[in-house]
Amino acid sequence: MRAWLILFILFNSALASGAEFERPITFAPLPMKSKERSIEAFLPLIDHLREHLDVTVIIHYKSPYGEILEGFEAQQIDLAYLGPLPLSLLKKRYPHVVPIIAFNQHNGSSRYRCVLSKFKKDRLPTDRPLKVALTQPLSTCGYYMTQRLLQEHYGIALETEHFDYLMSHTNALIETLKGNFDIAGATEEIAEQFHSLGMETVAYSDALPGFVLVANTQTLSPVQIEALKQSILSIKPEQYTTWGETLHHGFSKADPHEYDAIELDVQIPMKGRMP
Amino acid sequence: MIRYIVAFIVSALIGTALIALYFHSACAQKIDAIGERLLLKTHAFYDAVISTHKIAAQKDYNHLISNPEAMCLLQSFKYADKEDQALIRGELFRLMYRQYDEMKVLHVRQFHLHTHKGESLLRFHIPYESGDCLMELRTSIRKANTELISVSGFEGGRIFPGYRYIFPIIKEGDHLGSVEFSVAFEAIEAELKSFMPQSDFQLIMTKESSFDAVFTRHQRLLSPSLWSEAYYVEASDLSRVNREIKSNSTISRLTALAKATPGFEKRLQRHERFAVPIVMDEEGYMVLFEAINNTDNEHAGYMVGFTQEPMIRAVKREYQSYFFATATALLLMLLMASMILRQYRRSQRDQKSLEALNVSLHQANERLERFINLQRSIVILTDGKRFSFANRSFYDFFGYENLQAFLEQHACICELFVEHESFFSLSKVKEGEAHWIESLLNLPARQRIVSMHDAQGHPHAFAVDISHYDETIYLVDFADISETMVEKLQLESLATRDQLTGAFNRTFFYASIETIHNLHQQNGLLTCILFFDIDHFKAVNDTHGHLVGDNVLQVLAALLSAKNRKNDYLIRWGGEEFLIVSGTVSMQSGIQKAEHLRALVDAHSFEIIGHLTCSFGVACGDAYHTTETLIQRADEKLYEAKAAGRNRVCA
Repeated sequence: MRAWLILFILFNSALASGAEFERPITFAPLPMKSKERSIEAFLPLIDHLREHLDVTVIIHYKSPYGEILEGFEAQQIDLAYLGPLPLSLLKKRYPHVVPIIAFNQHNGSSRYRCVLSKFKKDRLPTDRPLKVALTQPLSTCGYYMTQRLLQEHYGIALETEHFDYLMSHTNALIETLKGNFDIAGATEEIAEQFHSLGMETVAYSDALPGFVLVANTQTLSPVQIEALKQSILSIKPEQYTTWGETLHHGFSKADPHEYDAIELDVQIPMKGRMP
Repeated sequence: MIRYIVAFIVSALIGTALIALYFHSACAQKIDAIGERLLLKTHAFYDAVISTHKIAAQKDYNHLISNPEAMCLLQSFKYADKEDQALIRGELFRLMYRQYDEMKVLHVRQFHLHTHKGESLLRFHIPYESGDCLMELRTSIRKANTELISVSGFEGGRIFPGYRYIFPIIKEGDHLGSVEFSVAFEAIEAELKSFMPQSDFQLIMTKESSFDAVFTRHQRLLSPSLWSEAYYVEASDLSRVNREIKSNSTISRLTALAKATPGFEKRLQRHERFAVPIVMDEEGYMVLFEAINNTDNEHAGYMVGFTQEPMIRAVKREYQSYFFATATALLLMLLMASMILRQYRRSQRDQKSLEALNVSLHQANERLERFINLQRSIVILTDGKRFSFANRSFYDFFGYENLQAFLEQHACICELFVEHESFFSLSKVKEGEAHWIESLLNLPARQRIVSMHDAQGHPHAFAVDISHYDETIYLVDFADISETMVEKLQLESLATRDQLTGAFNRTFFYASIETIHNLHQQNGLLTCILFFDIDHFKAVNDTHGHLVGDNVLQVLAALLSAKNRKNDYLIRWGGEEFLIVSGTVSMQSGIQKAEHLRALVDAHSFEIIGHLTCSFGVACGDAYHTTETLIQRADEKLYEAKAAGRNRVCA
């Protein structure tokens, strides 16, 4: 019994010493909204990590998803907030990435859906090509899911229509609201926020593995990664419910295998197709 | 000495402190004036910028209410159900987003429509966030929708604090809500910098108008300022201005220095504009605090300006120069004053010491006078020419009342020295000797003897003792040795005088003749020997007896001595033979003298015997003649005179 107690103390000491962050760690949020809103969304979490683990987190904002993936490969980014598609693409190129925390949606599950959204008064054109507002090429709810939803619900092949990348879900919806596009692809949660502006959701995807916080195993030690994971999972509901929309539904442990289901069988054009 | 040093240091410290205080105060006043000028300038620019935005907001408002489609949608919104309101909201956005894009170019951050109930209808900057009630939170919105008046000014908000311009929207008497145009501080700052390019500006807001007003989820966009926990700033992650301020090391240091100035906290709490001058790295800066009130006219924060102001350094240097110059002058004055005081005190002390010394000297003099007066000797103080003191014995001896009475008759005591071969007198002062004192000092002590007559005319002999009273004054002591002198003279007389006639004897002759002869040579005289004897003296003795003969000898000696000159010496050579040693200018003079004496004797009538004659032989010589030769020759001539018949002179 005494020997076990000593071993336990030694293990915890080793864990504590290994979890020390000797340098600031870099974090890249996903540019789903404007830069300010995207950064703002994660400030509470960064504050929590600083207070809880005494670690300084520097936000490494990259607008195109591709740059986040490149930053990860270049070992300039330690942590990133990614959707299932960027994660699967990253894992394919750079195996030293591990999902550690999944971000819950309003229904309490981390899984989410991609949707198609349009202004209620607008009708999809029949006399001209459809104009589709997309987030980013590597966004799950961008070209990847929008082409599926259009095909499934309207029998429209996106590759033959007009589309453009507007860099964020919000931008895609706003541009559609403005009347510059006929329809937008976005996450269900963000699209629902636009219902107060007369936007309606016209198509839903199946539930997808949720947005996750991924760690770079080449720049962070397993002990550090574990410390980050445990710290975030220890956040109490009374705390995270006061935080912004991205965080206020809480967190769950990410399942790395969930993301294996993402089929990377679509050729995603990196540029929009507009007249 | 220590007292003077302490007094000097204390005075110097107090004086320097007062000067420092004065110049510090004067310098502070001048710098305050610079600060006030900068505050007024900043305030003017700030007002101009705010007013410009107000005009722009008025234009945007006019554009809105002159848009019939928008007004129609707003009216529809008021009376529509929730589902239709969402659609109308979307239509409004679609209708007016271009206008908002234009506003953004002019730094309008928020274009916000409110319902007539003061709820958020449409935020063009976050269109998907609406429906929240702003009436209670925002005075401006409450006034616009209850009092139907336009309101402008700085105010907090759900999303961010800013400069608000709010106008009520009324269509044909129907109050439809209000519209708000908000400008971020970034815009104000950018425009202020165009006026004051050397300055940086920061907005610090009270907690009530910022942190407490925004949505809870937006509170993280605000953080306590470095100035005070009571004031917040927008997070540097999102605010360009605060990001620049945070990364500017000069501003960080200025902030720390300004905060450390005395009374800073109190000034901050007064909610009035103020300026803090700073000198850092040899450069002058002014940190300006422009107080900002909200739409309730309550303090909402400060616009802080950091501006370089070279005048501050120049003024400080100017007053430092004044201070050092004045302090140096003061120190010199104090030093001089203390030296003068010290000198004055010292002279006072010296005066007292001198007085005390004079008193003691006077007392000593009195004691000395008393002591000297007690002396039987005559004691005087003299420099050899004048004398300043004489003792009682002096006055008693000469019969004068005081020194003044003596000096009216005589210039020097030396005038009273009797001229005599045995005594020193003024005639014996040699050439080259300054005065009689020096002359006496040059003599052997035993020869320092003078003779003076007392008030009754009696001669006295004095042994003179001279000692230095000081550098120039001599203390001369005249000890009366008259009695001793008489005895001496008597002894001398016994040895050198003939006891019968009183004339000098042969002993004297042989002891003195060389000296006399030399003296004559020095004076250019011939030494003449007048050898004579009484003619037929044997007959006198034989006839009248020896007593008569002795009497004749005595009378003859007295007769001839009376006619002798000072330096003539009558010597009884033996029996009735005499000779006279005399200094003459020539043989002829010697012969004349001899003839004169012969005639004198020839003419004299002696008692008892009556007439008597003498025969004279004269021989004169100079240095080439020895005494013996002269005696022999004079003797030969006497013989010739005898042989020739007596009573005659042969030479």
